Amino acid sequence: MSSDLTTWKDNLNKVEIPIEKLNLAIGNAIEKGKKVKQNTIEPTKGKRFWRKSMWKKVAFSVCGFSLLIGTLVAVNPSVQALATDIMSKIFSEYKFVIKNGIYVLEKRNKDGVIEEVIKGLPIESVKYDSVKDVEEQIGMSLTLPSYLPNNTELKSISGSKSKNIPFATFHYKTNSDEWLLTIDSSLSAKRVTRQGLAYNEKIKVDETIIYVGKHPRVSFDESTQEPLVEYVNKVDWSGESGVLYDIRGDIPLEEMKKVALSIVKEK
Amino acid sequence: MEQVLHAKNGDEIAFRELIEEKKAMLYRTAFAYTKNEDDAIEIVQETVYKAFISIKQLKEPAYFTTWLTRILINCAINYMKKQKRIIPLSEPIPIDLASTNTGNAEEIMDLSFAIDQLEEKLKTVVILKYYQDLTIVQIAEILECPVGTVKTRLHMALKKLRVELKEECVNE
Repeated sequence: MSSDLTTWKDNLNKVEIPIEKLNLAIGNAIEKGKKVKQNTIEPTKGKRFWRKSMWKKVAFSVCGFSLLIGTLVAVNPSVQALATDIMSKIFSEYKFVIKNGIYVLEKRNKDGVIEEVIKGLPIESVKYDSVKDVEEQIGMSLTLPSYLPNNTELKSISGSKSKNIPFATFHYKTNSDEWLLTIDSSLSAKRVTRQGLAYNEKIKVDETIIYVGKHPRVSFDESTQEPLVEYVNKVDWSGESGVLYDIRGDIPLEEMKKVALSIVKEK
Repeated sequence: MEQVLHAKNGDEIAFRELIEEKKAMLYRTAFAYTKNEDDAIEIVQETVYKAFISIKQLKEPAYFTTWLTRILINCAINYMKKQKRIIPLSEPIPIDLASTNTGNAEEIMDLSFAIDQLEEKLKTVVILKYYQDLTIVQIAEILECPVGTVKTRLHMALKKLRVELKEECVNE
């Protein structure tokens, strides 16, 4: 049997190779491969986002929306500029404009006609010098944390210009870690439900539930030309009358929880 | 190894050179499955095409040959399955062993026929073991299955070949 197999192998090795046909077939295979590679990659260059699956697009859009809000409430002009730049890259097919004081999200449809996707009142934020100033402007009293981590400084305060959309953001810095506390009493904040939102831990204090988790922070990696998603610590909860409190940033989660508890207990 | 890295990075010339080195092995292995020149060429063409479009997915350049052989075997098995679905209009052409000038041609034809009759899994281990002279471990890597499975398949294949040959003898 073994010798038969050896002979079988020898015979197989003696099979004449049709070199010309084989070379032609190999050449054709490579050419076909090149065409397929070109067709699948090149026409969609620069539109990688739109090649993602639906859930990824939705997730990305949610992150992008958060970033949009972040852009609008951000206090540092350079951060605003960077975020706007990121947004414009992520939503390359969409255009954000303000027409007669109304913000409009436009999209060019298949026929090249521009359609309005969303429109509404602009959310503008401005800097404030003190807690009292922002409280007066937005027409609500703000409960601030009685606990702050060591070496924490309040870098700036920003908030809405309008009583119709009352919110305020406090920008803190602990050592080199930056973090934000946002207090939002707008209608959209009051409509926030936990359904579908991710969290890792719940802390119940009387009637209040504090949700502890991570929040995506989107930036744009110039070297790879890909959006870069990082996750920062986040706690949030709905307080009295549906006011939404949100703390997010680079400080340790344990510190973040202590800050949150100091606000909840203050109430 | 360097050539594989170049090919992985999109260097077409490096890829062509790699295929040039392996084309005889590819063709003859495919021929072992099909016993037909055109079919073997078609399998090689499909193998080269799949390798070209997916070489970036090759994680370990040292395993290029293993990876390429795996693609070839999958292509060959798929091709054979497709062929089985096609009902031939005429009798199959006898295996051309005209070049055989050693040993008993009838016996070799019997063995070749018997190998051909093996189910794909068993045929594959026979081809890899006795044509490509690979070790059991190498075969297991190509087929991505445990060494024990390869041993079992080889044992079954050899047992079956003996049985089938014996039956042929009995019938004679």
